Amino acid sequence: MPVNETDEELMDRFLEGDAAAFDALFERHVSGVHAYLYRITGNRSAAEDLAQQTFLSVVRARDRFRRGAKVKPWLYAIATNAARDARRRVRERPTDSGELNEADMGTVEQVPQILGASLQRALNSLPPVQREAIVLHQLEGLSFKEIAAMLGQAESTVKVRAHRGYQALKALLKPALGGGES
Amino acid sequence: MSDQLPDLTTTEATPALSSARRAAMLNAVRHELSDGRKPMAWWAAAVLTIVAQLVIGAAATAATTRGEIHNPGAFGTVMVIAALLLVVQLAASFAALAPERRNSRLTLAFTGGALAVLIPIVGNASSPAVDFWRAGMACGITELALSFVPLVLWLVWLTRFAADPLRTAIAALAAGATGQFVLHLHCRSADPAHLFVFHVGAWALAVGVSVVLRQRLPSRSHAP
Repeated sequence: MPVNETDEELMDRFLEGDAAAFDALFERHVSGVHAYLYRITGNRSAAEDLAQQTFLSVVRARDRFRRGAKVKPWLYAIATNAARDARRRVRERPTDSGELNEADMGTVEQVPQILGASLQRALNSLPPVQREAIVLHQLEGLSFKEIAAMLGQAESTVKVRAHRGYQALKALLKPALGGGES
Repeated sequence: MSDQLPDLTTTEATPALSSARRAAMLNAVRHELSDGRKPMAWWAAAVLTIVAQLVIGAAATAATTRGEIHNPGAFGTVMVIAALLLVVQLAASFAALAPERRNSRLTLAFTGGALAVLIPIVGNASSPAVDFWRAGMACGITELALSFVPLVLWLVWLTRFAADPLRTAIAALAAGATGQFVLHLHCRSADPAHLFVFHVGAWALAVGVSVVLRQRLPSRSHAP
């Protein structure tokens, strides 16, 4: 299987019945989808379960994938829907506040880990719709237009959610970044 | 907007997926694939439900009207409303299950709402004096009973999609149009209050209950 085959070419082959093409898509995206789900749920086991549900949904709904459409936004739309469904079913436990505590102010070597952990806590404290917009845009590299299309929202709505989320994140992460008044 | 942000791509806090878990996931999906069952095409599910709605509507209309339209309104107006109900039902049936097409569903939601307002307005004719609540409840219950089977079918199909209140509302609009059509031809009352509360109200109740139910049903697929 050519390694430079695009997602769309793999999806085409999968739709024609080539299971190996699905395996390739799975291997290419499972880590990213899992990381995305972890970012928006803040829960490791939930992220794993939801990643599995995401790929099961791809198989079960493959007849609805529009040939020629981009695979990644569709995949992340499914993951987002799975997370929203889980959120609806399980009352969200209150997460830690995004603010840093003394333990977060560790050694220089720990800075990336600290920032990562602080970022996750800060993300957890955002409203889910803002969290989704930020993670999809900033971490998954999707454009606002793609996010809007996959979530069935207006592009301006997604931009506003992301903007508000970014403002809140910046305030929450200021101590971790060593930022004072700017 | 994002250029003022810290580097959010730091992934140290994101736990890696273990190879065992990754393999278990892939096995679960392969098992689903090896099952060999191909999902029914969305349009086939829509056609099946349309047939069910039309059969129920036709049988109930034949049984209740016995070839005579009881609606006291002008014949032409009654026929136009009946035709609009059928058109909305057909369009909503396809829009409820079509991938993407969110704008079509929004348009249909507005059209259905306009039709619901239109029905009591054009029914403003003289009407026989009957017990408002007793006669009304009979109409409301009949409408809900006639819509029950299509609603169950829609809810089954909709669990193959991510829960979407708009999609569910459009499906319930189609299902409710079955009972609405039968009552439109059969009911002798043209009292706007009766039409609003027991005809349109029952339709709205079907939509509301369906949306609430669908939100509580598990999804077999989370695809949009």
